[in-house]
Amino acid sequence: MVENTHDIISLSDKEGKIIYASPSFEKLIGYPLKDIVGRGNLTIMHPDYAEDSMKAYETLINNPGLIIPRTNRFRKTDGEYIDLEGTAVNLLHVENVNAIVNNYRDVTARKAAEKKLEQSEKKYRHIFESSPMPMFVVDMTTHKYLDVNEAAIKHYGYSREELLSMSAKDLRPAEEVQRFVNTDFTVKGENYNIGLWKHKKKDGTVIDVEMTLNQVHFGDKLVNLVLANDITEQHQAEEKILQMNEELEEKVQVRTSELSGVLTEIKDLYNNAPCGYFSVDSNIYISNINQTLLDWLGYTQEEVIGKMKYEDMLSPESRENHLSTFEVVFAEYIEKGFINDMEFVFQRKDGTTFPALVNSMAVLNEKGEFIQSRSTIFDNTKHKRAEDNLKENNIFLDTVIENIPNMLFVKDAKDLKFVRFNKAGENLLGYKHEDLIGKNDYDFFPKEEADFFTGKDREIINKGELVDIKEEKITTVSGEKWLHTFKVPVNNKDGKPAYLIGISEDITLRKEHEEAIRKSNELFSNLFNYNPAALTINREDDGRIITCNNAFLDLFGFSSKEEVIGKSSIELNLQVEPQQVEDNMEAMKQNDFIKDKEICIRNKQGDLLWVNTSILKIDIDDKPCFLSVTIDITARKHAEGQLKIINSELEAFTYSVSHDLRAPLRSIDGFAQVLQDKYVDKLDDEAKRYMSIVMNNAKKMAQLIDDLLMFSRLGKQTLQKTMLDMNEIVHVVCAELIKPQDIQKIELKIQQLPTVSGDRSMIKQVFANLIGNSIKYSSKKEQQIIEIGYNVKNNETVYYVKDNGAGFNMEYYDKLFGVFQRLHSAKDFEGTGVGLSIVHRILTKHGGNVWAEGKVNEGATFYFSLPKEDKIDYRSLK
Amino acid sequence: MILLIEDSPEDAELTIMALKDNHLCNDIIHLEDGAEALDFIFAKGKYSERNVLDFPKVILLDLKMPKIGGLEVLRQIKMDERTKLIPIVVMTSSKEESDIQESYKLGVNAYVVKPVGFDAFAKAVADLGLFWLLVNQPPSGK
Repeated sequence: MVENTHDIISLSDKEGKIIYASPSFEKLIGYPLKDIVGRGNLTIMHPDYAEDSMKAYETLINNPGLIIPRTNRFRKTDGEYIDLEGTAVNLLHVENVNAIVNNYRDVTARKAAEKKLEQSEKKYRHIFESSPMPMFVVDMTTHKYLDVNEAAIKHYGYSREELLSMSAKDLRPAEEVQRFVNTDFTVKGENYNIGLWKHKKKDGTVIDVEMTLNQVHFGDKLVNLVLANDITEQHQAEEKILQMNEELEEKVQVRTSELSGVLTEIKDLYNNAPCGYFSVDSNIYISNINQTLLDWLGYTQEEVIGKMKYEDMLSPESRENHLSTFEVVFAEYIEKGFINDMEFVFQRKDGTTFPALVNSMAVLNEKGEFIQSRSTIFDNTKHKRAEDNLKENNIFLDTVIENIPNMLFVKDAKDLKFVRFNKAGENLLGYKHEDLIGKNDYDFFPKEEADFFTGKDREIINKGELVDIKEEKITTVSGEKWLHTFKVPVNNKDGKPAYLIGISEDITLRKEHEEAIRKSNELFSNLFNYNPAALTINREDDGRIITCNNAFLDLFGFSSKEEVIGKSSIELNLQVEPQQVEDNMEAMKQNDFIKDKEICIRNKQGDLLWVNTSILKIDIDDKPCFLSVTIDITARKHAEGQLKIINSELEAFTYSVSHDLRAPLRSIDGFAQVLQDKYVDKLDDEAKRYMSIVMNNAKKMAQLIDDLLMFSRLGKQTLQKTMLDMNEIVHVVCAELIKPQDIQKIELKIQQLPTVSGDRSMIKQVFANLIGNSIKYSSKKEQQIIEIGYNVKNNETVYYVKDNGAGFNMEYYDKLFGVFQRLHSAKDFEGTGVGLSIVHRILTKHGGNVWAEGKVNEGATFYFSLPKEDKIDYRSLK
Repeated sequence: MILLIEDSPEDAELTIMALKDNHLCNDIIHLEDGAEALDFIFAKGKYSERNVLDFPKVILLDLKMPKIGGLEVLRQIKMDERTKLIPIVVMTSSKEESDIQESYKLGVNAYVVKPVGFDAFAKAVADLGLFWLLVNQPPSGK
């Protein structure tokens, strides 16, 4: 089989040397077997195939039993090449074979054909691709595009992929689809023209295409090669020429009809002119009349021409007048050849009349004889009415001018003298209309002002434009005023300046307001900038600082405004407790202000400060803002802290006084008493007297301690305010103080007292001390009179306690309310000198007052007042 | 038995004198500070032999004392179930509102400010003794 096959079979050893070749090898390639055995395959191989061959060989050697497909080209002995295709198999391991077996078939003819085809296709493709005309390869049955060229892609705007997914039908605009379906695209001859078609590009534009078909082979199919020649522009150009021709024709036609229309037009003009036309013949009969005049008169042409004379168109009066002067006037008419604007009253067919102006040309023959007139007639009714209207308008304008609230004046453009002045102007300047007319600015205003006014006037007249003078000062009879003035030049018919109109608004009040606002703003800005309190203005929405003053920078340790503006206090790290900011915002929502809030904040350096802050909501440029006033109270807070320490020390001290000082006193008094009681028989009278002095002083000292304690305790005691029944208090106090044995001796006069707000126990102490004093200091009188009452002064209730006792010298008034200050000796009246100090302290604490009048041996009156509820100083409550 | 707890020997003597003068001094025990008073009442330390339930009829208590103050003594007696029914009268020079408030809060039966004058003092002591020893009916089953 091997010997007889057409296939070339060769066996190689593992070095690639041929060890056997079939007879066909010699037949096809030319080498006899003896020449080829022992040679390497490479020695007869086309160099292009050598590398591939070696690779294949290597693969084979390493894989026993492997079969791989091979193509190869050998050089024949005659110098030609032979193309081979086949397989190679590694049978080195197979006994009796022990070789690589190559099995090739001669494919030279096929390869040559393929190459030729390839080149032909290449050529076709080159033409196809490089053609500037869009080309499509179309399947005749499906109309699908099988191939398209670059020109088609470019021209139609679709990508190659898009076109290849389309059919020829898709390229047609809707109106051509039916025609497409009905058309037979079978090619009949070369360059078969199937006429004009419309195609649609991707962007929607429709083009005109001349299509040519050719039948070609595409692969193994018979297909249509379509050439599409876009002749849209050519088409358009042709259409344009056509259109231009048409236009030209149209123009010719128009021109012709224009010319023929002139006559008609003239006739129309004559008939439909806005004025009447007529002619009379030598006998003054109407020989021609236009439609306008016929319409005015209400006649038809037939009724007038040749039948009516000129005078028949006039009213009876006008006719009479006309006829009476006809000869003179007519002679003049013939002589001059025309008459101008003669007034007549015409009468219509219905008897109504209208005024009219007649102009006429006389048409004479060569002999100078009148042949006919050519006359125009203008209806004068409207003109007459316009005159009336003008009169009415002037009245209207006068009323407006006189009654507008602004000053209005008119000056003559030449000499700038006043020619018109309205009432508002009279009122403003304080001059009468009669005094102003015919005068100029220099007659009324200081030179400086008049210079300014006339200067402006000249400028306006020269420029010929309106000028808006926003502010000008003017001296009037009633003082200086400010005006906002418009000045307008008015030209005459010829465009020359004739008048100057001025309209002035009195803006004095507005100016004053503006000035007041400016001053107020300046004041605010000064108050803001130079305020010793730290001030900031923050935006409401984000709390950022818009501006601040120097005191703010100083207080918080900033060196410049730039450091703080645009930042919030949180961003500046001033807030110790961010919650505070939220609380403030909440409070601002409720009240629009915060007053005297004491908070702790940080300065730039991080030191803690105590400040008093008040915040007010204000609008700046219509935006809600907060104005914050911050005062440093660190020192005061510090002092308050100190005060607390001192107070607590004082408390400890008073406690110790109340306990420790009283205990020894009790012993002194107690044991003195024991001495007196139990050793009464052993003491002589003098000793007993000494003992009683000891006891007396011990008691006095105890009283002193008690009074002092009360006085010091008042300082820290808080007020428990209620509405007080003063009558009840006074009666209780009197009952406690007046001993039964003294009731007869003391005459009490007690008025009905009004109620007041206060701390009951304290006010009771006030009455106790004052009434106690009265009883004590009047005790030496035979009849003690004590009066307790009130009076109202300046809306304030003043209570008083009056006695007829020892009184006091007003010279020592300053000492009256001082602690331990006494105006009487202990011998005359016992006392510790603390009572009135307590009274003073209680009333001060209440925000009230105490004062006194006295005269030695005649008595004393002590007054005190308490503030009304609404005037309570809340600070004292804290 | 009246228990007088008073650090000032003079005040104690005057008190005892006033009680004696009114024949109320059958059995007065005077202790000079709060610590000793507590030992006595709760039968501790040198009073451990004593029967806790052998109560005084009334305790007269000063507030300002060394070691343990009167308020503390008052607190401990009134906190203890066994002793809380013993009538206690605070007798003190202190008119301080805080002392008065605190004493009543702790359950004192009476608060007396010692007057400076002996007459008044003696009368106050006598009235107290009379009231608590003779008039007041202590709760039964002591």
